[in-house]
Amino acid sequence: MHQILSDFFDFFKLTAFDQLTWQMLVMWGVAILLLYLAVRKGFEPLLLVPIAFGALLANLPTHGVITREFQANGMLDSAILYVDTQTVPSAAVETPAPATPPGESAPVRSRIDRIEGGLYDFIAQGIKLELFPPLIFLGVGALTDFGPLIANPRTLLLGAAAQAGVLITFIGANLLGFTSRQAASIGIIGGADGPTAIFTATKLAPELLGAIAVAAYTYMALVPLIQPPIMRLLTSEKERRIRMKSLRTVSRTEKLFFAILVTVVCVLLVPDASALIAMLMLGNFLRECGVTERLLKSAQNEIINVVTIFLGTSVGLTMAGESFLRPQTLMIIGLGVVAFGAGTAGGVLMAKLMNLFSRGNPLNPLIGSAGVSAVPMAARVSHVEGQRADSSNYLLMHAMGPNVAGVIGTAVIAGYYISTLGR
Amino acid sequence: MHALLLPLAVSLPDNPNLWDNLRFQTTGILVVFFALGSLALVVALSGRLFVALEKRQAAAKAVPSPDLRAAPPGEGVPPEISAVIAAAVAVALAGRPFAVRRVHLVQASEQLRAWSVEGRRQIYASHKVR
Repeated sequence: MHQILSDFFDFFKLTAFDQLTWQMLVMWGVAILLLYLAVRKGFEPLLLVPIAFGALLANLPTHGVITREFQANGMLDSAILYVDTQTVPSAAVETPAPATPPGESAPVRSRIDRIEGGLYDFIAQGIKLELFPPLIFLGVGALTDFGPLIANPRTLLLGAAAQAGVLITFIGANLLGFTSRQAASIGIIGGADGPTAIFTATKLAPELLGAIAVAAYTYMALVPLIQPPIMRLLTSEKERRIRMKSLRTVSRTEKLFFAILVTVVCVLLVPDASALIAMLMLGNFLRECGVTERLLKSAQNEIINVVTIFLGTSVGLTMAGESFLRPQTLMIIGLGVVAFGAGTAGGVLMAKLMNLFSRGNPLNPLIGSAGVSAVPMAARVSHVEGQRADSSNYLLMHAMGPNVAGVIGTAVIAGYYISTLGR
Repeated sequence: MHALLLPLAVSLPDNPNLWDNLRFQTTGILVVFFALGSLALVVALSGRLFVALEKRQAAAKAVPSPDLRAAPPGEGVPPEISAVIAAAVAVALAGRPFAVRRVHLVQASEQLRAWSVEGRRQIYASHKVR
């Protein structure tokens, strides 16, 4: 009996209870809050659920899920590791090699380049190697109809103006003490484009990836709450009632030409955004060409769904309590609101400015706010606000123009930041 | 590839002053406007070209739409379809006198048109005809 009890208590030495920290417990609360927002409130559930679950896993002493990191004392814990090594010349090693005693062979000096861990060590390579965001863009392109944008190309300028939120937030983050690379990653939240925010943060500030992704996706879900007050503040009742001319029908050939054009122009201008732009337009080409139905269905469904699960959980796994529970995270969440608000204002004010030069064919300024991407949520907000002023005014398809232009605009500004700050 | 190795005039230190930051952001917004503005210009010009080409092709293929008055018995819209259309109009006009003068087919294959058709349907469904 004594032996059984002893074995029983010995077993508890193998459990992970003693590895819990207060940060982990707080992060359980954060994960549950995110799950609540996603499940009960419907805030971007497709992404927040995997992110929140990943955050929960990141704050449990898991084995075989993520890469084992070195502990503070420089030791590794007891996970089984597969170690890739590369033999390097002694000169490349910082510490000098000890003299070899006569008669003994020279020791092999190795540098550990990579320590492989469990399941998510491999899956998270999709973020580290910047594979997931472009793959998500493949699906986004396959799901997006650029017809309204092609029919009314001046709405591209609204998508450009809405990037004001990115720039203003960049400056604000810099003033709050973030480095330029971190500030650029935080600013991209204002683009309201999750994959681009993750892509930029991975390149420029991987240490902030979790907080940036959570802020980006949470605020995208809050677009219907954040945007309307700003839209109403900046427009008059008369402006909100403006009816726009019907959009012409765009031919398939024109849509195919557009996909090629955007790819060539954007890649030439900002090669650092090539992966995003190229995959977005490849997905759109598959959609419009009409002869790749099987590939289109995969891009629209299986690929984007599988990658979304992996992307979300990988991002969540970066939210370890030690790195997430810092004042910086609160600042990022605060700056996210500024970013969305300024982007909304930029688009609306640009539409009003354009109306000064096109009185015969005015834009309803409410569609300017859709330039912050968040497809199609922001376009829906423009439509609903327009209907509040005039219930028979249908702005949805007009707002889809700046909405998809915002996706391109955010990719361009991300490419600008990566090319100037990323090396 | 060689361009990546050139020293960049547009860059920013980790902790820039406000003036440098404003200059950097101004360049950024100019890049975005240049990219999207040039796209808008090319799309607008090519759009005109595509529309002109389509008009020319449509004119070449123009087929007169079926006209109820002109259609001899047994051709054009079948009588049972005419009856259904007339019944739908009678319901929509709530018993007011009317005459169906012409019926022509609307191509609803394009998604844009589907949106406008849905919008029109909602408008019509939202109130009674006087």
